Amino acid sequence: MRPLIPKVRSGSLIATLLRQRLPFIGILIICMLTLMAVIAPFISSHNPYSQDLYRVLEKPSQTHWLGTDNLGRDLLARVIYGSRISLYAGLVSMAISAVIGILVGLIAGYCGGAVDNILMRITDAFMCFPYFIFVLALAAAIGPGINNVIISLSLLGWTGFARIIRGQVLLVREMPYIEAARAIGMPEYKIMFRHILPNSLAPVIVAASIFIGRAILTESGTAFLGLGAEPPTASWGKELRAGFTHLERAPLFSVTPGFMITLAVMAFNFLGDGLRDALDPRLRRGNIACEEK
Amino acid sequence: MHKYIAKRLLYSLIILLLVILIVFIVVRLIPGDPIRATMQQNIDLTDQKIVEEVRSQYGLNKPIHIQFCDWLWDLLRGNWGRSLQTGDTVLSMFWQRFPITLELFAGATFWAWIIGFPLGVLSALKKNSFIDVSLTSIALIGVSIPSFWEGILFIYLFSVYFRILPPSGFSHFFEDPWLHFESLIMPTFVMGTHTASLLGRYVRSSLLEVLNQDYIRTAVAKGLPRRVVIQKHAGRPTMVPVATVISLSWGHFLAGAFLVEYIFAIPGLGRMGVEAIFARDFPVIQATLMMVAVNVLLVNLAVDIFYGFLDPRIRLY
Repeated sequence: MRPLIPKVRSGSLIATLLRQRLPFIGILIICMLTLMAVIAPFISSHNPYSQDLYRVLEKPSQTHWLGTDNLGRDLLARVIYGSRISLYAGLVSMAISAVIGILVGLIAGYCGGAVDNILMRITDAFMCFPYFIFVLALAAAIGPGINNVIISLSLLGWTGFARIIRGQVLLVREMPYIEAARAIGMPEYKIMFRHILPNSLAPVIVAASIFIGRAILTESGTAFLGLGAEPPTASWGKELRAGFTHLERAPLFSVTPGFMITLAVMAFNFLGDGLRDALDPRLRRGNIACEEK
Repeated sequence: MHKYIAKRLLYSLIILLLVILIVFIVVRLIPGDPIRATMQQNIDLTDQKIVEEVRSQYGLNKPIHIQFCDWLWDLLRGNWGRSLQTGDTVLSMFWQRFPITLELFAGATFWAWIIGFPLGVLSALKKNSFIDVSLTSIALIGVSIPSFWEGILFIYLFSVYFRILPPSGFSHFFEDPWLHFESLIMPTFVMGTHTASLLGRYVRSSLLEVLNQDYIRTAVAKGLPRRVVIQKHAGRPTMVPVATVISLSWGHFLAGAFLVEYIFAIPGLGRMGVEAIFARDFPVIQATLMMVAVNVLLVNLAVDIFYGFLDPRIRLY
């Protein structure tokens, strides 16, 4: 018998998270990255788009703290602005995936029977594709641009959410209070959205956090291979790709963007881990982000 | 048990059909005419007659559902089409690159095993010590680090700075065995990092769980040496999650291979996929997507059936 599913009360949840070490670090990094993305124009002393072809691949100096990239742009400014693309891709694709996934999972779990079977086999089929390869192929098919990457991310991302929500719904559906709601003649859609959904959300929050990390990883991977955000836009993956070709002359050019990607992914993994512990102590087992790269 | 296996097989077959449909749709999403996109250098595109001829050669002028049925039939017969870039059959390209990628897989599994397993055990036995905390932190970084960045760091460290390993490229075993192994060290390590970190964490948590069981306390209480308790009594149950992580990772190594083979310039399946995607070489993209999906599907099926043997309760599900 499964213990009661804990309610998500934001006040106590955040307090629980902040008491632990790793989730605290994760939240701290996420807040800093978000702040960096929001106030990017105020903290970077250079324009990330202004090129200076006489000063390419410079070493760190007083004017350019991290040096310049292959087109003479300030690397620090590029990295700061790059956080915008990564966070944007991560958050938006998470939101879209979560909404689709929740709907599919809710319908599958609640209706059961043939509907459940069909929806879940489709989910299984999508899950056969490794994330990165599917997004790469699809982004290549529908063309470059960050929004196309987000569409590709969401087209596969919903599957995880659907599976989780379905599992939760199957558990919650059998609870006495659902029976009670049905007995007093509550309409089905109201039962679904007002009683089943809120009580199934806890694991979705965990999955969402880890999903953002994976989405950032995948986005930067596709950008690294030359797809994703269009050229003048600063993105960590794109910087890393350019840095890779100048590895011997300017190692910092590759090190910094990669470090930022790792930092962001790690922060969301920490948060996800902490959320899992805080929301469902039963699942306290050291498995984080147990999916592919 | 037979019923369980039959059910799993049937599910896998249904999923396979859906996978085929998804691949077909994704590839048809390529805007414009794939022939025009890829064959600009090879044929005279101003001559409408030649373009039509090439299109009909690839079956692109038929209605979409006929194309699907044709493709499905060809797929089943093992006729996977020809690359638009080179004109080679996709099947021969596949067999040419498959051994190389398989070697990478084996190498990655090797690293994951010899790093993840002992460190996970060490972590569990020294629970909450300094060693445990540092190993856990390293594992957390290992799960989050992008493989392409790790690869670049290694290239800089070992090939540019220390100059002890070749930065990239691949030489066949029969040409230069030593260089062959040298050139595989970094790529396989990078591919194995993620699995090693996961494995370490799984081994740690499952060993800790097992060590808390009553029968372990009994074994200790009756005076068995610590070594025997850990190896004989705690070891076996710990292997289940280990086997799962290792086998499931095989489903996902291929995604790692895409980036790793690209960075280290290894002519394997991953690089074939990346190049096909860049060139919009749709027969090869189709084959690559099918290949990765079937790979995952087979691994999942194997794990399911393996679990069915291991744990009778699962068969009911």
